[in-house]
Amino acid sequence: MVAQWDTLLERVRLRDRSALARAISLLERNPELGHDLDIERSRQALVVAVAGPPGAGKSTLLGALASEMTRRDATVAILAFDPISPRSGGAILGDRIRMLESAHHPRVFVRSLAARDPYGAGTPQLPALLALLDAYGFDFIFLESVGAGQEASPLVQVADVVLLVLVPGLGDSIQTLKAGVLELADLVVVNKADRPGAEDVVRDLSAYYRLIAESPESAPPILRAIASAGEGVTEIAEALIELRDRRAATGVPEQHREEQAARSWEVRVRHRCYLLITELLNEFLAEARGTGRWRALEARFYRELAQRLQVLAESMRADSD
Amino acid sequence: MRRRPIRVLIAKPGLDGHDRGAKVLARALRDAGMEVIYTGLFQTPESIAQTAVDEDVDVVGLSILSGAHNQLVPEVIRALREHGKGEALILVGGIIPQDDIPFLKAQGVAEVFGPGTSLAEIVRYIESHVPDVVPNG
Repeated sequence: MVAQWDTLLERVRLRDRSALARAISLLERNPELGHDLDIERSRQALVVAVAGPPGAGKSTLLGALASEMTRRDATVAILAFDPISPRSGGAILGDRIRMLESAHHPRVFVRSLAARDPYGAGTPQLPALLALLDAYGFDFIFLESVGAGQEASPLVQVADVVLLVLVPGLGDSIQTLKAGVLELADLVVVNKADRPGAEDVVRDLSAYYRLIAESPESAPPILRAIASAGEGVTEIAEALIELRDRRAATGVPEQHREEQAARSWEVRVRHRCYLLITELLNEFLAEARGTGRWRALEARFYRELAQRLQVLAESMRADSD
Repeated sequence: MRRRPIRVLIAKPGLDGHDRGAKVLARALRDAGMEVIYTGLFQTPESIAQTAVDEDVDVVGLSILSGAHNQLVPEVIRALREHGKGEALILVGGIIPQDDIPFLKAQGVAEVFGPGTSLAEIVRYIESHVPDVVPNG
């Protein structure tokens, strides 16, 4: 398996698209393959988390943005996360519909992933997935998810840049976002800007950033767009290209690199633990329902969990030696 | 339990605008624990093949109600093979006359599901025809 993985990685570096698609599948099934991948990451690509409430038009904007990027000869990868059905574990991954135009461009790679955790960000393999896409040589990697509106979202944590998409008519949405992703946004887009209330949103945002920004320059730019009509998309693309160029010129600061590594590690460990606990809980629940022996069960649960953690630790040791 | 859920692409090639059946099937497959990628209407064979590659699906389900299946299906299969995705399990659903089925199967279609097929039957067919193995690089 490892030999096969190495061959696949080699092909990914040579920009073999079907090898990339296969490698993602393999990684999904075998998380251990990604152990060292995120450390290797060269970070050529600018990783952009697209955050915002449901219905803000994130997919549509992404589609338009990807088209615009390809017109400028940039290569784009989009990871679109959709929630799984908690009952069956299945999922309908439909974001491609709203990205149609760009979804079939030779320079745009779109992969739909089922989100298996409460943050809506898929898999503990996320950092490794990014490394894989980076190895292929994409200029931009966009991450999109229903859950990306929360600060705790792993998508937001692993991204270089957070693109926040808002729309008029969400009432106190700015209020509710305040403590979260608003502060982390590097670029804010007010989408559906032809709708009533758009200017109010822009004004509220400006006021908010005047309040919290250390200097006027450190406040994120606020751009207006009508993604469905392609309006304002050029400006957003230019802003992102500028962010990428600036970073390429100055390099990634050591401190930032360290922080990225720490975040990647955190995301992976947190999600592994989450999946391990969820799986075990489900097993115990299925077994114990109706028997009424909950107390005894709890102690056994912890013992079993400890054992599984032990197994996980052993597998890591073999890996790191 | 499978190591990874079965991934299914549901695509509507060509010019028919009826996707109720495709959506109902998508739901049923999801409820059976599969990951379903739905492309929406009016897809070209080329775009279907590219999507099948990128999404690394195990199954490509083509829903065709326009009557153009004898043209569209061979084109999609050719595109899939050109993109190196010829090994996918190819299923066709929709209004397909009995007489056309042997031709479609000769082209590489694994099975054709006409009106009245139960959803459970399609789920069973897919589950028993997609092997649970790690793909070769």
